[in-house]
Amino acid sequence: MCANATIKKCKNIKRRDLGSRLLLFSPDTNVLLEFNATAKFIWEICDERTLDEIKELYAKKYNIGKNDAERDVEDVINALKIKGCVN
Amino acid sequence: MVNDINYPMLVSWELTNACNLNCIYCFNNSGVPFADELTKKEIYDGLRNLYNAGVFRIEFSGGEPTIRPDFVDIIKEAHKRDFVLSIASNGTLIDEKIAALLRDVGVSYVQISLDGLEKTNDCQKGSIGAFNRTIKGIEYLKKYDINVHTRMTVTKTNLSEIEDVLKLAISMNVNEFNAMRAWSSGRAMDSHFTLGPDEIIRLDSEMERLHKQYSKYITVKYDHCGHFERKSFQIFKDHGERICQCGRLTCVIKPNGIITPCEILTINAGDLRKEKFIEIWNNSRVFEPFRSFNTENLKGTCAKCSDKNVCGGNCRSLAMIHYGDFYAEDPTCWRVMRAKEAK
Repeated sequence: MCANATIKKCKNIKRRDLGSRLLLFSPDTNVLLEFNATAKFIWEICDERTLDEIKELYAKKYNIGKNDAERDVEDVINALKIKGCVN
Repeated sequence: MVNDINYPMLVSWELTNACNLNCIYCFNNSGVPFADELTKKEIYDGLRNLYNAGVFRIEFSGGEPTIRPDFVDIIKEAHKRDFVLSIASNGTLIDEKIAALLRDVGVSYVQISLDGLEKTNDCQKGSIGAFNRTIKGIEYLKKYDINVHTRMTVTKTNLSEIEDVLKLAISMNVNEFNAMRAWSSGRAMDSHFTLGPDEIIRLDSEMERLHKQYSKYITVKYDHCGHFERKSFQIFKDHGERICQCGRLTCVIKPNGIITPCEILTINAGDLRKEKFIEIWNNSRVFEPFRSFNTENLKGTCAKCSDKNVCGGNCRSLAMIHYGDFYAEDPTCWRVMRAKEAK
């Protein structure tokens, strides 16, 4: 995954904010995703940002090291890409 | 961190039991509205309830949903709450105003019941002129570029007209043609017009042929609810079809707010007027057998069938309706019918 590439949320993704959880639904692909609080944060900030920017914000938010932030963010963004929620 | 989950992916909401037609096979016995149907305000409350439960997709049906005087208001409210909407209708009451509204709210599709050419359709619908009004409704929907699916409920009466209806759908730029057998429930319970084993097999091969011949012009689907034959099942399964999702991924809200796992089953899982939807979905014991279903518990002909793990016992609701037993054989499977004939 290219660290400098800008992440873009796909259009027409529906969301339901259930407090600490977030549900996303793509009517086009019928994919439903459930996010916990940390994945929800990544989803909220990812649009029009690069991976490096997201990792930096994530590490700052949860006060964690670079390696942990890198792993978490890449896991979530990869899953979102596979499910067609971001480009 | 990110998970696929099982969830009420689709809530089918029967807005009313009232209907302007009198279909011979109606599994709901629709016609007269229930005395205790939800008011507009109660439906608005229910929409909020579903939203808070995380539901995304609602299909409004009936009865005939468009017959409600407040249908337009309900659609607007559901749109405001950002639901993905679809409508199941007979199409006869769809006018330009409704079509424009459905376009404006971005309805994902409208499923229109169309059972034959004029004479056959009107005979099955119990209403002279229904065909022409349905066709007009489809024309309005297509004028507004709405995704239209036609649904043909197959009986002995219209079995020979499937290709004609399919061609008609193509000529009207319909997006999807869906055929399914009449269920042996409601007005079709123990009826003379539901298909027998030989006709089911004929329907199977006919749908295979039509799928092969017309799929480049229109999406051809064959709903296997209440049906099973291995070869065609595999074909349609490969195209994303699944047998019964009731109680696991879908449920039904009846016109009076009672929630059931399946549209043909009247078992009460909970009351939307009194309880939160999510609590009913998570806790009602009515859903439990659908979620813990095990083919090894099937009885009768289904128990001995080598394909029971492919079809999953087919329709459990029909087993409940006919035998009062969730694990009884499916009375509408042609193999079960054949086995009964052999006795």
